[in-house]
Amino acid sequence: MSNQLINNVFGNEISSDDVLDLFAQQSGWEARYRQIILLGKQLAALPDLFKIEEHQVDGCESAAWLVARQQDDSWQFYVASDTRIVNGLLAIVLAAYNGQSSEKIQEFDIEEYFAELGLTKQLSPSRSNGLHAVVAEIKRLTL
Amino acid sequence: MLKKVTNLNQEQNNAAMRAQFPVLQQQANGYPLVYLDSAATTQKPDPVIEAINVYYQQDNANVHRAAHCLSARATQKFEHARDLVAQFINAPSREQVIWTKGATEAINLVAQSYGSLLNLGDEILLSTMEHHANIVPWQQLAQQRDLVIRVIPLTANGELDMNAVSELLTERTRIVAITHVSNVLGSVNPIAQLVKMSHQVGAKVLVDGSQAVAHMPVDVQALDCDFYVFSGHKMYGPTGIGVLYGKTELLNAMPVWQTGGEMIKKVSFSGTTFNALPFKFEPGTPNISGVIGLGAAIEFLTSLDRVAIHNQEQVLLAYAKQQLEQLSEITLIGSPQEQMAVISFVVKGEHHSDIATLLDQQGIAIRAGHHCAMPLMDALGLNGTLRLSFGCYTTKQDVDAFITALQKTLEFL
Ligand SMILES: Cc1ncc(COP(=O)(O)O)c(C=O)c1O
Repeated sequence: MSNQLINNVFGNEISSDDVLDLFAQQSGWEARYRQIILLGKQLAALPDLFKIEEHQVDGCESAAWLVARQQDDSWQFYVASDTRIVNGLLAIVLAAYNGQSSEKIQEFDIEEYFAELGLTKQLSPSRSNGLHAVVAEIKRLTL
Repeated sequence: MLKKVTNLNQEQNNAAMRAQFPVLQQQANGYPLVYLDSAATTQKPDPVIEAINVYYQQDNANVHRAAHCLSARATQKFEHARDLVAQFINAPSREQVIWTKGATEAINLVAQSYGSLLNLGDEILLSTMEHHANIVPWQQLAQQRDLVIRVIPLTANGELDMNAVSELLTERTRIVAITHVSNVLGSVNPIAQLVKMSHQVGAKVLVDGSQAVAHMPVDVQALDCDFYVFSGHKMYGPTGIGVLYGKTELLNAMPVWQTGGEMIKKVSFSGTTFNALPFKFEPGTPNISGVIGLGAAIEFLTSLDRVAIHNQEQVLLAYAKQQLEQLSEITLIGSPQEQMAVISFVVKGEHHSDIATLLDQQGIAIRAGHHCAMPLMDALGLNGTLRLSFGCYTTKQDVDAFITALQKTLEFL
């Protein structure tokens, strides 16, 4: 595995609107979760050397990592988790945030976005999947 | 009130039982709810909910204080629940039943109070399968008082390694804190034997009965244990209430832990004298509705044919294991000789949280993770398991629905 951070397609080629369109075509949990898992598979692999405590985000029942880089005015995020579904959900988050400025990231209504996707519960802080913590960390970094 | 569930066939029995649990009558994510997480907390039957409602609607008053009739009624119900608990675990006297917030607080009480009598180099013996609630309070104590913690390892099938116990018990062992039933593996530990061995070296034994009380008869005198703790919410009662049972001479010798009102005999600025058992360990206004709800839960449990319920849970356990074993991707974790209402398993190549999320989409509630037993996970070389656990309302239909949903999940991934 390379030690380079590779930019994700999410947010760079696949936008949050693309994700919304994709999910508008899926009905039922099976179609939605199949799509989530497929998106997760398209995440760029996070090199192992970045999977250190410093980048770990609390997920209680599953581990997640977040690496952030800012160039000029725009952010790129690199993520990994050890579960398929969380990877997919992270891809969905990155579709909204990658390539954006701090301002745009602060403005973006992530709750509304997840509600439209029918995934509100996955973003809830009561879920121990780490997604809420990743979003909170991205918002903190871009304050 | 309680519906008698005898003299009916199995299906009618199940329906009558489930009808008493309002939570079970609902859909989850568009599917009928299948609740297989009773080891985390059991659902509550109507008589428990009713008892709590009646208390707040008709009897609410502070206990042990006022001369008025409401307080007398509340106190009477509150103290009656203590009698019920004493009978339920066959405690020699009601004063040996102390109300706590739960098993966790009961263990903390013993660790801090009895623990304060321990000295440098004294040893505490725990086991690999303990819940964090029966590890961390002892670790804290060990740090405070320079004590040594030793740990009983497990055999390959997930039982206590009894051969190791005889070596780990020394004349320095002061307390052995051990679970009655593992919340991850379901293993039932040979408590009476452990108590006998521990007493031979002069050690006291605290038994964590959290996962036992709802599923098997508990007789603290037959076990001869020194302390027995459990939580109400895992035995059909409310959250926020639990029990510490202790031997009278130990409880009397132990210093008070938390202090305040209710637990005193006389207070002046030159000093305070403390109340007798059980009040000595019950400072402040207690969880009155919780106590009354727990009393109702015990009445509910004792109204059941507990042998029949136990047998039903054992049949379901064997059935679920057999069904799981037919799925090649599944590995069952542990195969203890005696197992109680809990099964852990892992799925080859899949993360437990993905499986649990997809089962949840199909209305199946099971637990995924380390189950507050990280040292056990480390010993097993796992980062978590999936756990299904049963209660008196669990049916074969629940197990079938779970297996069907699991198969669908495996095909899906
Ligand atoms: C074996 C065991 N001990 C202790 C506890 C802690 O119980 P509580 O959180 O109700 O105090 C639990 C609950 O999960 C348990 O399963």
